[in-house]
Amino acid sequence: MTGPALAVLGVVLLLAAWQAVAALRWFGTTVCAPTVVVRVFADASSRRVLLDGAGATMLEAVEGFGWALLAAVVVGVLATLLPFLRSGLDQLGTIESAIPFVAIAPILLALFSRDTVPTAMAATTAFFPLYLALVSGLAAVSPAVADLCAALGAARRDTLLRARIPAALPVLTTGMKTAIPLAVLGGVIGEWLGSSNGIGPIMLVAMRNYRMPMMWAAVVVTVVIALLLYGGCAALEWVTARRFG
Amino acid sequence: MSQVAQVAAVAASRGAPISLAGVGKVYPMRRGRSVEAVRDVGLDIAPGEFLALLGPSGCGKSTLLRMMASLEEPTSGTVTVDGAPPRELAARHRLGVAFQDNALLPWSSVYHNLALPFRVAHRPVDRARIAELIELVGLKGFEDARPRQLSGGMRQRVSIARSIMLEPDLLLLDEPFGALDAVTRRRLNAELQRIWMADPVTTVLVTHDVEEALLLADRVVVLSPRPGRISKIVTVPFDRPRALDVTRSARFHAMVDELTAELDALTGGVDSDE
Ligand SMILES: Nc1ncnc2c1ncn2[C@@H]1O[C@H](COP(=O)(O)OP(=O)(O)O)[C@@H](O)[C@H]1O
Ligand SMILES: [Mg+2]
Repeated sequence: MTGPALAVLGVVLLLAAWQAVAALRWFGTTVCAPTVVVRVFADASSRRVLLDGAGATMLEAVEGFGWALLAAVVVGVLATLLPFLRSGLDQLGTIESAIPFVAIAPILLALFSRDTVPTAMAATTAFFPLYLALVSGLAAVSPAVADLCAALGAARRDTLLRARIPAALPVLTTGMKTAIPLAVLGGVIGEWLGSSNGIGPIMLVAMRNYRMPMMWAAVVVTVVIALLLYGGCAALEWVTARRFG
Repeated sequence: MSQVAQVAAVAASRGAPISLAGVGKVYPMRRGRSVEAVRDVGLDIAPGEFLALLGPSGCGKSTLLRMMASLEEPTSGTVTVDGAPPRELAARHRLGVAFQDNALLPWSSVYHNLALPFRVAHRPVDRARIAELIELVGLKGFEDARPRQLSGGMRQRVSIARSIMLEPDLLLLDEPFGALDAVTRRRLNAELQRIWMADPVTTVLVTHDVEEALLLADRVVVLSPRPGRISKIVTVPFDRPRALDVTRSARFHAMVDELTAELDALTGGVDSDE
C-alpha cells in the first residue's frame, strides 16, 4: 500500500475507534462521537466562533514562532561566532526548556498583557528546539569544507555566510517542523491564562458549561491548526533539502 | 605576446618556498593517550618545486600537508612558508588546496563553487578567469551543474580548478585523485601536469601512488610508517611533459620498482594502517 493510502487508513481507524469509545460510553458522556462533533461544525454560529478562535490562535502561534525563530537565529549565530559563549548559551537554553509551563506562566503574566501572553508562551516553547536545530545545523558543514574555507583565508563571518548558513538551512527547517506544533500548544496554554481570544477560551467556556460537543470541536480545530502549520514547515523542509541538501 | 616571451612565461616558475625544521606532531587522544603522527621532519622546498610526499596510509602525509596549510599546528619544530608562519599565506588568500574529499559546496553550481575563492578574498569575481579554468579542466557546458550531477573525476577537476583560481603562491594537494578509478586517475594526472606546466608554482602533492609521484614531481619524499619520518628522497630526472615515452621507459620502470620496494620494506609487506 502507498503512503497516502496508509495515512487515510490510519485516520479512518482512529475515527472508528473514537466513535466506538463514544458509543460504548467508556468515559460516560465526556467523550462525544465524531458524528456529534461534525454537527457542531454544521451549525453556522458555532462554526463562526470556532473559525474566529482558530484564526486568533493560529496568528499567535505563528507570531510567537517567528519571535522564537528570530531569537534562535540571533543567539545561535552569536554562539557560533563567539565559541566561548557557546556552552553557556547551551546551558541557558536547556534550563529555559526545562522550566515547566506553570512556572513560566507567572513570569509571562507579569511581563505581558493577558492578550499577548499566548504569543509569548508560543515563543517560549518553540525557542529551544529551534535554537538546537540552528546550532547543530551551523556545525553540520563538512569538515573538508570547513578546512577549505580556513585554507582560503576566509574570515569567520565569510565562512558563516558561504558555508555554515547554507548547510544549516535543511537542519533548521527540520527543527521548524518539530517546533511549530509546540508553538500551537504554547499558544493555547497561554490563552488559558486569561486571554479573551482564540481556541483556548472556547475550550474553557465549553468545559465549564459542560458543552462537550463544542469542547471536542475545539480540540479538533487545535489539531487541524497544528497539522496545517506542520504541513507548511514540511513543505519548506522539502524545498530547502532539495536546494541545500 | 611574442613567441619568445611566451616561451619564457611558460618556463618561469614562481611560488613560496617552504621550510620544515624538526617538525613533529602528536595528537592528543582521550584518556591521556596520544598518537605521534610525525617525528623530526626536516625539509626545504624550493620556489616553483613540485614535491611529492609518498608513504603508506596512516604515515602522517596529510598531517604534514595540513601543517603547511595552517590547518594544524606542529607540536615541535617549525613550519615556515615564505619565511613566515603558514597562516599568513592563507590569510593573504595566496594558498590553493585540493583534498581527496573534493570539498565542493553541494548547494552551489560549478560556476559558484569556482567563484568562492574570489568571494572569501573579497575580490570581484573574475568571470573570464572562471571561464578560462572551466575550459582548461574540460568542463565547458557544466557551469550550471551541481556537484551531485557530476562524476567523481569531474568533481576533482572542479576542485583542482578552484585551487588555482587565484594563482596561489603555494598549491597543496592531498590525494586529490585518491578515490578515482585507475584510468580516470591517469588522465587527471596528465591534466594536472599540463595545468602545472602552464604555471609552475610551488606544489606539494600527497599520494600513495608511486607512478603518480614519479609522473608529476621534481622530488619524491618517502615517509616511514607512523610516526612519519623521512626515509628517502629521490630526485626525478625526467623532462616534462612526461608522456607515454617516459612512463614506458626502462628508467621510469626501474624507479617505480625502487620506490615500490622501499615502500614494501617500510611496511614489512603488511598494511601499516592499524
Ligand atoms: N585529528 C586527529 N586526531 C587524532 N589522530 C589523528 C588525527 N589526524 C590524524 N591522526 C592520526 O595520525 C596518523 C597519521 O595520519 P595522516 O596524517 O592522516 O596519515 P596519512 O595521510 O599518511 O594517511 C594516523 O595514525 C591517524 O590516525
Ligand atoms: Mg591522508
